[in-house]
Formats: sequence, C-alpha cells, structure tokens
Amino acid sequence: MRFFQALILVLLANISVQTLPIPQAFAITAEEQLTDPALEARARDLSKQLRCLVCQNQSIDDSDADLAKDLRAEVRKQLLGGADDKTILSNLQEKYGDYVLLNPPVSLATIGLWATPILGLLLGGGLIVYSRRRGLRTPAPSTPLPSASEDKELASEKAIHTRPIGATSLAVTASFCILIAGAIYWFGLGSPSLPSQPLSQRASEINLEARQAEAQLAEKQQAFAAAKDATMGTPENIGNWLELALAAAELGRVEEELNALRTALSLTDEDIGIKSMLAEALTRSADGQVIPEARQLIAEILAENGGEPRALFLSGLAAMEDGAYNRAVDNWRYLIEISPKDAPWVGVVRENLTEAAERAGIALEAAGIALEEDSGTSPLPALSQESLSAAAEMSEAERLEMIEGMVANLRQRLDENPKDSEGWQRLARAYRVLNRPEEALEALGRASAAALNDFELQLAVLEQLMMAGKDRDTAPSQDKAKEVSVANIVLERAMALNAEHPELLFFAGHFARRDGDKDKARFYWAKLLDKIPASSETARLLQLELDKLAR
Amino acid sequence: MARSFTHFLPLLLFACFAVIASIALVMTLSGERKPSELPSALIGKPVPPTELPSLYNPQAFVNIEAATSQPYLVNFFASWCAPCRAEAPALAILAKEIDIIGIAYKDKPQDSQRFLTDYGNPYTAIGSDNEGSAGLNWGVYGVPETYLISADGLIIKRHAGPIDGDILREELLPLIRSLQKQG
Repeated sequence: MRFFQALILVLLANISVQTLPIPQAFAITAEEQLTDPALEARARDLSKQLRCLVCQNQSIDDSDADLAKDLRAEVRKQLLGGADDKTILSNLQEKYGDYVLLNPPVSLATIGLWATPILGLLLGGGLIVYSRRRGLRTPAPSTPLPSASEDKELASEKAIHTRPIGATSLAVTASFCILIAGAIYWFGLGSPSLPSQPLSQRASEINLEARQAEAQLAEKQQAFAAAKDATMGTPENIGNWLELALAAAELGRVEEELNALRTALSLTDEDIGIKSMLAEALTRSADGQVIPEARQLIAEILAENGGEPRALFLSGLAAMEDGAYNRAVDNWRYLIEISPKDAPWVGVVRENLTEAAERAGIALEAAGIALEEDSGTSPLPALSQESLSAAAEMSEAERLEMIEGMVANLRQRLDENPKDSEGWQRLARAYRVLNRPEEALEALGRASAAALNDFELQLAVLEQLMMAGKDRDTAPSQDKAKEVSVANIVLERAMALNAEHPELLFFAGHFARRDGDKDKARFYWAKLLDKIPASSETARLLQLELDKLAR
Repeated sequence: MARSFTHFLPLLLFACFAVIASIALVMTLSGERKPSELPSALIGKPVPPTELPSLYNPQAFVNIEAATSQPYLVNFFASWCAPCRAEAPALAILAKEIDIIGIAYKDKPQDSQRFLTDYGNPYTAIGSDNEGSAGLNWGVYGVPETYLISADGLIIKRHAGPIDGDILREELLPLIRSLQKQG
C-alpha cells in the first residue's frame, strides 16, 4: 500500500537519522536456511523447480512474495520430515496443480506443448523435401513468363534447375542458423540450470547480512532496555517515555510504543506534539488505517493547531480512506504550503497529493500548484511541461499573472466550444482559486447548461457550487442569493434526470437551508435519511443536522 | 492443384495461427479469458481436513469436516487485504443464502476482529490461520479466496479475488441454489 509506505517514510524521516536497513538482495533470508548443508542444497534445488503462484514467472527460490516464502518453508519442513524430492514435489502439485511445477509433466493435457517443436521440425523438413522433389520434376511453370519467346525457354530451364535448389538451400541454411542461434542463446542466457549466483557466495552474503541485522537488532534492543530502565528510575520524566516510545517503534513493538506515548501524554497535559505521535503510532498499528481513536486525536490536534504537520498528513490519509479525495487534496496542499521547502516529508506528501488529485480529477495546475516534472496528463493544453517548471521559479505575482493568462486562454476556447461541460467546471475551479466568485458562478452555470442530460456532471457542478459557497460564507447576502439561484436551476435539471438520487437529495437540502427555507431542507434530508443505512455515521450526522433544523 | 497447395501452405498455417491468437486476444480483452487466473487442483476433491483455533475464542477450534448436512462456503480473508473490504457487501448478501466459514489468513486476531467490526461479520464460524498453514493446504495463493463446498464435502468451485456483483449473480448464487436443491 503506497500510502502506508509513505507514512513509514515520513516516520523514518522524523524519528531517526539512523541508516535504513540494507536492501534485501536475495529472496531467501538467513533464518530460512537449514543447518544441514546437504538438506539445504536439496531445498534450494527443489525451490528452483517450483513456481511462485503470485509472480507466476519466477521460481520460489527467486521470488520475494510472501507465498514463495511460505512455500520455501513448507519444502524445508517436509525435507526435515524425511520426505524425498519426488514426494515433496507431488505433495505441492496435489494442492496447487501442475502449474506449480516449472517443468510441466508430460501428460495428455501437455503433450501438445512438448510435441510442438518436434512436429514443427518434421513439418518444415517435410515441406522442404517435398517442394524440392516437386521442383526438380515439374517441367515448366504453368503461367507464361512475360518475356520474349527465345528467353522463355532459357528462363524455364533456369527455373527448373536453379530456383528450387537455391530456395531449398537458403531455407535449410536459414533454419540451421536459427537453430544454432537459439541454442547459443539458450545455453548462454536461458538455461534454467545456469547458476544465477554461486551458492557459496550467496550464502556468505546472506550470512554477512544476517550478522549485520543481528548487530542492529542488538543495538536497538539495548536502546530499548536502557530507555525502559530510565523510565523506571524517573517515571515522571517525559523525555524518558518518549525515548522509550522511539526505541519501541524501532523494534516494531507497537503496544509498548503506544503505552509509552500514552503515559507521556498524560504527563504533559495533552501536549499536541505527543498527541500527534500517538495518532501516528495508532495508524501504524492498524497497518496504515486511520482508526477512529486516531481520527479523534487528529481532530483535537487540528482544532488546537491547524498547522500540525503530522496531523495534517494523517487527516489527509483518513480522507483518502473515506474516498473524500478533495479533502485529502486540501489537507496535503495546505501541508506543503506551510512546510519549509526542505522538510523531509515534502516529497512524500507531494507524491500522495498527486495521487489524491488524480483520483479527485482536479486539475491541480489550474489551481496554480506546480507539481513535480511528471505532473501527468495536463487537461489544459496551454500548460506545457516548460510552463509548469517555469511557474515553479516565478515569484508569486508572476505566477498569478501566468495563471490568469492560461485561464483567459481556456475561457476563449470554451467560448468557441461551449459544449465542454468539464472544461467549464475546470474554469470555475480556476476562478475560485483566483478569488473571482462571480465568474466562477457563471462558469458553473455554463457547465450545467452544457450537459443537460448528464446526471453525474450536474452532481459535480452542484458539489462545486457547494464548495464555492463555503469559500465565502461571509459573503454579502446578494452573492448568496445568486449562488442559490444558480444552484436551483442546476437542481431542477438534475431532478429531471434522477429525482431520488441520495447525493442529489443531500444537495437539495443543503441549498434549501442556505436559502433559509428550513422546511424544504428538512423535507429533502428526511427523504435522504430513509435511503441510507440507519446505523451509518452519515445517518447520525444527518440526524443531528435535522434536529438543528427543527429547532 | 498440388502446386498451389504447397504455395499456400505456409500462408494457411500462419492464418490458422493468426485466427487462434486473435480469438485468445479478444477473449482476454473482453475478460472472458483470464490468463493470470490459475485453475484449482482441488476442484472435485474432498476438502483438506482443517482444524484452526477460533478467532473469538482461541481455546475452541473450528473444524472443516468432510461432510455436513448442507453446502457451505469457505472464505479466506485478512484485515490487511483491500479487496476483502470490497467484497464485504457481497459476502453479506451470500450470508443470507448459505453458511460461510471465514478463515483469517495470516492476520493478527485483534486486527481480524477489528476488520469484522468495521466491515461486518458474515461468518458462521471463523478460524484463525495465523501461520498460513491452512492456506497452503487449500492451495491459496492470495486473499480473498472463496470455495464452495457441497454437502458431501467436495470442493465444487473456487473463486480467487474479490466477489463482485457479476460473479455473485451469475456464478455463485446459481451454483449455490442448484446445490441446495440437490441437498
């Protein structure tokens, strides 16, 4: 999971400057090996004959997949149990089918596979012999050659004696060449019996790696024990508990890390730095899922300090998990804005931001964010690679000017081709970023008009209208009225297409409330409430809003 | 006649090859043929005897025996597996039709329990296969995997990957109903 990896990277960048573990060069690890070298050699040999069913084109000896690891362990277990090679292979074949064997057995189903090369050779050879004989016997080609009558005899003579023989020898030479080239290639590069790495060298490297890993582990364990002692000695020292938490994190002892962080937190009167570490540890303990407890912490942190980087990052992750990609984009964009340029997490956040933006379908470029070089397919033709990297080097004012230029371009294109609803939406987004709400509203109206029969697009327009409204909750009332009137038109169009859609009901309620029409809002939301599972979080929130409206 | 035959033989052979290749290509593109999907070696064979500690009560054991009174499903899942979340709604529907035995594959029990709290528990019994050894016996190569077992304990069908609406409607439910009628 990419986000989980990203999280880990951020953690590593934050927690320690200790060197990353040495990358694993080989699939097989030291602890897997058997102590008896003869058995181990047999295990390696068997592993090379078994296919990893996840990667499908690697043997389990080569593969890093979890399943391959399990199968290696299974092979070794059976070896230790005294089974012979054949039994082990057939045991696995029974469970996973012929496919698990890299050398398929000759059977009725696979006979075609084995016989094809021989058949091909026989057929080709037969053809050559046949055509050669026929060529020698045939007196003359039946179609007249387009030449003068004297030449005709000469030409046919040539055809009889030289052409078939020339073609035959050419064919024979060519097939020999192909055979020889194939054989050279196979023996040189392709044969599975070629040693990819001598076993002794691999084994010694594996051992070295194991020793290093052991030393590292011992070091970490020492640090952990020392930290634990320190907390025993002075349990009121917060620093000691944090130290312990870090040491536990290094060792992957999540429970102890959580305990230490909780203790530290209780000692500090809810310090938000520690709280964010706790939220992060909780997320890690759930394999990258932002669990409810962590969400609660994140909300508390952000309420107190909206710019806490870890909380912002996690909040983005939580939004991604919920499918609220726009919220994730907002979170991460803000995080990048407030982070120092060389902060260790910026790269990772950018990467996540790109992915979130891709999912949200937002043209980030239009929002004036210059992403990295590989900013993907830009929906605005005016935004070339160069203009993007140029934008990164410009001052704020220049950048704004450039964006204005691009927006004007887009506007012009849309005026020429007003049927492009998505284009209008993009334009509206850009106007919002440029803080030109009037024009954003107008563009949204055009977007809706351009896609009268497309329900999804109408919904998208409504969502943007809602967000545009949120941008300026403090706007004067006539602006609000204009927003609601545009929204009402779009709502009507969408209702004509699918009046019962839950999302649409939500928007209808939202805009009715914004218009001050509480009864109408309650009508739509009550209808919506009937359509969603009563136990869901959404239903609970909706009920809360309904209660508020009733007051 | 003979002459034109040998002339066109290579062309004919190539045409045969091209036709076969295009059929395979079209079937792959349309999703009918799935080259990465592996046939199960266990179809038609009795269930591998399986005894696992129960997820919610490690002292008790979940047994998958040779024969029961009615057909059932065996579903391998894990909290760390995203497609398992995707198939949760399909399993909830299936649970109304047929007993489902869950096997938490290579998963910490507390994680599996949290997963079931969050995404619903469609299972009549859940075994905890922490080591993945039951998975090896069943020939599992990735979660989720679902096996349909007949009343006399034979594996009728295996589906690797999440169960989506199409598979539910067009493959599993009809099979289950016909098995239940027989039973």
